[in-house]
Amino acid sequence: MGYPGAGDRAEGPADLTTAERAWGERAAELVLVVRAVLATQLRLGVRDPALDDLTQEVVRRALDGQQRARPGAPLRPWVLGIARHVAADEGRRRARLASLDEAGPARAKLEGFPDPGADPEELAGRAEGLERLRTSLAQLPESWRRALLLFHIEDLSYQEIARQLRVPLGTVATWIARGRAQLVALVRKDG
Amino acid sequence: MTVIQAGALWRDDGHLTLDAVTAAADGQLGDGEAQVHLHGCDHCLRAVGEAALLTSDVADMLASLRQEETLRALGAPATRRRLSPVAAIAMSTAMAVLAFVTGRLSVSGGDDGPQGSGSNDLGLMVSSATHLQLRAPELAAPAWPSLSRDCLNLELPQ
Repeated sequence: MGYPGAGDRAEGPADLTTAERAWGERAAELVLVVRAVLATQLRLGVRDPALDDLTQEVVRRALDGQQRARPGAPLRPWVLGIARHVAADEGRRRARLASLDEAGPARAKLEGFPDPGADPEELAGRAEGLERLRTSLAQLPESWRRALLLFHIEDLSYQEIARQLRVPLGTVATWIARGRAQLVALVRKDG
Repeated sequence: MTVIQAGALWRDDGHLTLDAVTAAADGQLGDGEAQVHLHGCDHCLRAVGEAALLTSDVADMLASLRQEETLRALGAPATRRRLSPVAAIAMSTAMAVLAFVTGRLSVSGGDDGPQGSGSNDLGLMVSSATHLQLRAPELAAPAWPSLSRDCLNLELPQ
């Protein structure tokens, strides 16, 4: 099954500038995570051809939209945002197709499909949400909070964090994984 | 780049550990057997997807907090600034008009500039004021203090 728009780009790799190529290489490192997000949101199997088509669509949109990306802004959240939108579009498209077969239930599915990215922004955009986030952060164990902030705010890699905190890499991964899960749980619980 | 030690990568049932899944979602897993496994395992690929979405949510939340803390540190009530752009533009325009009027009064009877320069000045002042107001958040944004150090009173190791 081909995704609408997939493979529309006529230019080959030879037409890309050096900057575009470098950018493309950085984006290519994210392909695995893009596939993972699409598979999760659409419940696709690893061998589902739609997964390849949709991944290609995300990369195409990212490449087309690179001019609009803020200079210096991290690439990962931006590309993952595109992946969420592509998944949402595809989910709605599938729900619409399904609604042709079973008019009633599919409509509910269509309306219920989550709007990507709206939830965290909506939550954190409000002053009370921010206060809740601040309180939740303060409740995390110090080591988890440090690892999280070093990764998300200071933009350090796991290896750099491990060096700075003088702990093994595996410990950094554990602190970050637990810190994130706990933070989101605390924010949602207090909400 | 292999980040996680081999012993911490695998669970007894043959799937990746939570640490490995988190590292993969953060782009920190590196190449190797675990990457190959992710290309063929529904369970682990979806776990990475869940972890990536969680990462994305937390990153968004912390970015919002960082922006809020930046504006607060600069002495501006961030939410009010965002909520009333029309009022702010109106105020800037009024100030520009006032500056124009007082400027005209102060030079009246004196050596005037070229004819018609007054209306050009007014247009320039209004457009500059509006432009500055519209760009205010982005002009103020880059110099945010370290959220971890200054705003949350956390002492990070140097």
